[in-house]
Amino acid sequence: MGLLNLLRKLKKSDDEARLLVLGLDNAGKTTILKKLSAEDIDNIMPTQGFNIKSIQSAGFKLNVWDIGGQKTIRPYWRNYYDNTDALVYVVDSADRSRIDEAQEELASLLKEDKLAGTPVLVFANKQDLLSAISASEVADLLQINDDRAFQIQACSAKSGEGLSDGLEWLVEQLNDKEDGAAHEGK
Amino acid sequence: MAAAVAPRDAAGRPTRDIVRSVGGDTLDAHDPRWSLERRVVKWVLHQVTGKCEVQRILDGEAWHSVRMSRALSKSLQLSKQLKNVHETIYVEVNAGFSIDSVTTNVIDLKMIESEAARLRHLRMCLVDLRKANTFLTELERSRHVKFDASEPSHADLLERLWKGLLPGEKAPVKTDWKRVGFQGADPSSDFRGMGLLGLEALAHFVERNQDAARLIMNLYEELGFAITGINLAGFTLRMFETRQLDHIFFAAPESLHKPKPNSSAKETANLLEGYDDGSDAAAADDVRKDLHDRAVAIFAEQFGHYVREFFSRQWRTSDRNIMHFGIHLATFEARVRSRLFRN
Repeated sequence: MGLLNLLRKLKKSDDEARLLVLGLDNAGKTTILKKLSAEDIDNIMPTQGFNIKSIQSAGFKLNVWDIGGQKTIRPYWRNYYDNTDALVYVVDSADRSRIDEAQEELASLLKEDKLAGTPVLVFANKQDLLSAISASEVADLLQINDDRAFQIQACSAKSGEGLSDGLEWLVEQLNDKEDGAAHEGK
Repeated sequence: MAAAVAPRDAAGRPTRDIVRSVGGDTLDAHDPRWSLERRVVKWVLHQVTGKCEVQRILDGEAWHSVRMSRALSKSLQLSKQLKNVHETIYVEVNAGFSIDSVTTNVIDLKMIESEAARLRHLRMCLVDLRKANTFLTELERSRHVKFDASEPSHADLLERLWKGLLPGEKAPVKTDWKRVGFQGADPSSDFRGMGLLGLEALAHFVERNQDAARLIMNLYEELGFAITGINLAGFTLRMFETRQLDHIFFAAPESLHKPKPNSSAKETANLLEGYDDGSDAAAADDVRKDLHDRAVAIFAEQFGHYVREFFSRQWRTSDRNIMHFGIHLATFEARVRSRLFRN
């Protein structure tokens, strides 16, 4: 499932949905975004600033924001929290030395008011590498105790494995939220 | 004239799927192939001179020149009639096409007389075109070589980059790499995408333009020098891939490598194409290294021009907000592309 399919499966009450993709530098955020858009992933460079993928179908628009992960950019992350429908947090499962750093960044994201209640999908990326730890180990190390909708998905952005499963989960969360909102409205 | 009506949904919004990206992506090519102006000019010239464009190019001067190769290359890229020839040379960047068969092809398709001077010029142009393909192939090969810190030649390049930017300071440990603008403690991950070529371009530029490089690094420290350089190296390669910079390859000096007296031309050609029949592995290495060094030198030179231009013309006059880097790079790319296709 690519982004266009995701878009088509969403129930729509608004004109727009917004996904925010965050994580440390070199986690694979841009690669995931490109892979989901069926673009070439051979020539991805460090993201300075952000990339945005905007997909429009039948008047409905999905914006996916991929923000650079280097330390000097992280203070700017907060500028992109507004109206986020779901957060995708990408972790390099093969970089054990920085898993603590990844945990700290995620913990502070979960404390942000503007992201309160936002469903979070964690991609435990780079499962194709031998040195990668499993998704459940990643889950343990991230020490998440939050009652929001939360999912850890093993994936390899390089091969594409696991990405669709992650998106399926996102669609469910976003559609549940729509149902909830419609219900409240009546 | 009736306007085309796009399909719309109930709310009157267009239903066409639109996919758009900002940042990092290339923009649409400014393909002038179907431009009316070009067709009119060609038609008029054909009527006046009685010669087709290829003929006019090949007969235009007494001696073959880079200008002639450039004109022919442009003509091939834009020609509808020579689509096959264009595909042979430019699709998949074929560095091994046969000069003989392409020559015959052009002569046949264009139905031009095979005069001696004209044939000679055509062959010389095609040799240039093949040379450009050889260089471009080599650049793309290098871009796909993964940076490996345990490889002495790679580590050496990285050290030279460091020394050029921070002379007199001892080799860095871990986190220091951020000081020259890498993202983190391990520079190797930043080379994804541009591979060894990114590092080669940076090291080459910094060593030959120490003052400029250090000035840029310090003046615009909001952008990491190294990763901006890697992004601009990617940009530079995209510009070469438009084939609008091929004239730089045409004008490149011939190989410095002197083939050994006993090695045949065919062997040298095999070596250039990476085919090694084991006859002389050392000579093969020499030829390959010579080709590689020249390709990198040409690339790094152009990279240096773009680095200077990006910082002085685009970034300096912008809001200098790192979050807008992608937008400024895309603007810069659009500007350079339109300049390339106008010339």
